[in-house]
Amino acid sequence: MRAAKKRRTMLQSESRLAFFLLLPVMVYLVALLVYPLGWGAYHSFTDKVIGAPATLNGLANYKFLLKNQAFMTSVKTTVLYTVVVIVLKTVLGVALAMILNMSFRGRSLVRALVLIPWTLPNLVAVLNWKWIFANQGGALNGLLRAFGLIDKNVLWLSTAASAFVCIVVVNVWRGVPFFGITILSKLQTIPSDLYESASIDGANAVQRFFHITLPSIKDIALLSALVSTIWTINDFESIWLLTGGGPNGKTAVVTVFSYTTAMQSLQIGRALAVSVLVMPVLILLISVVTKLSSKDETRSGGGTE
Amino acid sequence: MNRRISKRKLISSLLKYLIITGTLLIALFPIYWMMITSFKPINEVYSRVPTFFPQNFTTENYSALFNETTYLQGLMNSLVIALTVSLFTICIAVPAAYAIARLRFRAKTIASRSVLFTYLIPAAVLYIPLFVLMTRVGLTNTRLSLMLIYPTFTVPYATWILIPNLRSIPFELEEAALVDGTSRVGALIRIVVPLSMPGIVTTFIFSFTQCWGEFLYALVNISEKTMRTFPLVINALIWGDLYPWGQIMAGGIIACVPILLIYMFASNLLVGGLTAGGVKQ
Repeated sequence: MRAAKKRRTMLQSESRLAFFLLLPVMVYLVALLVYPLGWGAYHSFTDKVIGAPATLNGLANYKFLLKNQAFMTSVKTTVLYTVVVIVLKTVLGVALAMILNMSFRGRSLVRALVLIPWTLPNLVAVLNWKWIFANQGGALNGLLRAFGLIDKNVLWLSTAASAFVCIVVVNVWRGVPFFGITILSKLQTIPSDLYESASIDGANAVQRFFHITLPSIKDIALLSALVSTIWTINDFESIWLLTGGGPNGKTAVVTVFSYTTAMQSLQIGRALAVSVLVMPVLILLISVVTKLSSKDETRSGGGTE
Repeated sequence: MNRRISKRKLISSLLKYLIITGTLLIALFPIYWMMITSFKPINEVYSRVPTFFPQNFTTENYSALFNETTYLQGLMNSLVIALTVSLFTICIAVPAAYAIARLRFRAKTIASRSVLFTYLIPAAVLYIPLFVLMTRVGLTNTRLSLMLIYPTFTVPYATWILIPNLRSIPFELEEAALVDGTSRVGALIRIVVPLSMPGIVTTFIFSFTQCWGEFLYALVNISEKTMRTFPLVINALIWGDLYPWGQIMAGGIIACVPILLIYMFASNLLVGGLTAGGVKQ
């Protein structure tokens, strides 16, 4: 009786302490994350422009967007960009993880070196590639010419198809190391006698890959792909810095469309409606990731495990 | 027979090293290119046939960057902002992570899930409302605006990777202190925090690297020259017909130095943290 009561007061005091320890984070996030998001959702139903009070205009912004060709094209470009980039990063990430998991001299050094692209500030990586793609003095044209593959400089960022390839290359180059290292951490936990006994049973390399390797890295690869999808859909700066959405809006993804709407046309309400339209997809993705990540409450490594 | 096996082995190991060399080339060539460009004089940068070894080594890009642009000021602004934000992040994320990791209360699962949820909300969705908010309180063009905004991504992330970290400290150690009459908060400060220092340092470093190269929020909120962070200073060089690629690459190299130093000295700490946190790109 007494013990139970004592236990209850202890739990109560723990709850109170937990509340006070969580309070600063809660106050901060409500002020600078929840409130701004709510403000944004509300103003997507107004004619808000910078420096003027807003009046409600119902669904006008949404109607405008759904009829707007540039917006619909940006949605298509975003979907295509995201799908291509995520598939490539996952496949190449698995390949990289398997390469880094082989035994060879200097392995830990190679692992560290391969991670470098991912550690660069994004802006630095993107501008570096912009310079590689440059038609005047760029490395890509120089290399291709040196090997005799082209005889005239290609304007990589000036045609729709090649500009699209460029934004894909940059994202993949920077993203694959993250996939590789994450998947590698899982590969290392597969006991090697599993492979040995499979070989003795006559399984070839392809069978071993599909029956041992793939099942054990499936979850972590999926989680990396989902998390990466969230960031790719919202990738603004790579594309803005590399192509500015050009040529002729052909690489303008949704974030670039929303940026030019808000910061150049100053149509805040309309740009907010763009974010609100993307939200359901994001919330779905975020919920799946949150669920997958919290599945194992005693997660030893944390997040992506 | 024996010879054939060893020949096969030789070929497969040759293939292996070929693949590894190829991988390294793809990963590192762009960085090599950035490095050599930063040491080339302007006429060599724009020569019709690019040189893959600098012919006339020069540091003029670096001196131009520091003497003719506000790059140094930009580095200082970025440094001050990233350090302040990381410190603030640790101060509020450690107590929160402690509560979720080690205290019993009803809304615990919700608390831990909402932390991850808020972490995954991207800047592309938040930057317009935050820009309007900063305009309204008159903070645009101040370092303070970015110091207030950056914790929107560092705090949830830091809390998320600190939770398993703080949970791994043996409960017995804390209990012993509690039996000796220390308060719960006292035990947090004197037992749990010192024991989880490696994790806290890693989290600090991660917060720092996330703020260091941030571009979108800075682009939107800062236009004043003296308040620019280094990404904005580099971005401002992209102007006109002929970009000063030598200077841009020099700026990139300098900006990478702190990050690469961190990764070199703390790579063991960090690779653990990297896989721990579903890291932002």
